[in-house]
Amino acid sequence: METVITEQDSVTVVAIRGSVDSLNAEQLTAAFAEPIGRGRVRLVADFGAVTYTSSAGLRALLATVKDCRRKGGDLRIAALQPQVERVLSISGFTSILKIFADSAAAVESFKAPA
Amino acid sequence: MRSRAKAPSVAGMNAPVSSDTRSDRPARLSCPAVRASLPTLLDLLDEFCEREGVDAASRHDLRLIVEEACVNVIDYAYPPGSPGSLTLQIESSCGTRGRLIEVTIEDNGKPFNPLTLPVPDQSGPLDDLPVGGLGVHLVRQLSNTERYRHDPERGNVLTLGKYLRPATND
Repeated sequence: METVITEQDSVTVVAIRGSVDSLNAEQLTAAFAEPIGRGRVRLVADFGAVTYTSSAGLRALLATVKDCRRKGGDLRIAALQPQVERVLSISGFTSILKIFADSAAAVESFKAPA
Repeated sequence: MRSRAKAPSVAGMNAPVSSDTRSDRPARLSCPAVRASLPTLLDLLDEFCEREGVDAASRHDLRLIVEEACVNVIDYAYPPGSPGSLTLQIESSCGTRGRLIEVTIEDNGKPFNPLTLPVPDQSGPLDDLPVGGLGVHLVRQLSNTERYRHDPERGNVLTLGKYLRPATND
């Protein structure tokens, strides 16, 4: 798994590539924690290049969204592939996380009043 | 310690799979129940799926099933710091509902049937969302058959099956 962080105004996009599993989910948590540590709590996780996530990845998302919302921000999800979306759906995550078709739409959503 | 040599691969040809009997070549691997064993366990699954021509969607689900079930054993079966063994067996059979891939995970830790865990309640607010049990929930949702038994010698034996989509002729 690789992550690339880009910043677009007040929003930080974490583009993830590969598989998120029990061996690397902590890296993902750390990738989210880095901007949060700098006070940037409006995050977009771009899942466009993610082909797999296990429950370890879901726990990373859950911990991060809780942290962001507690600090007045949010973690929003973009570009889920069908098999990954199914895993999020089965786990009840599609009703807690805001999900967008692509990264641009997720970034844009932060500009609209909540 | 592994005493059996790896089965030789059949180069350049696909071994015919009997249509009505269990595959004669189950894949089986025993290793220490530690996180570092995960890549080897998942490689075993990959090789098996490759050999058996398992479709991509089923491979995805089987990988998740194997990861979650193995991580449960790795994290909880043995006392911290003294991991025992974990055995993964993968086999293919044909039944009335088509081809079934079954993965069996064995450990000699404390007897525990994960299939008795309650289904997580996902209806509450974010802060109440249960994080524990998520892996087992996924395993149960993505598999078609689940059974558990405690064997005096093999210990916890958990078998999870996934029916493959009907093959399409080319």
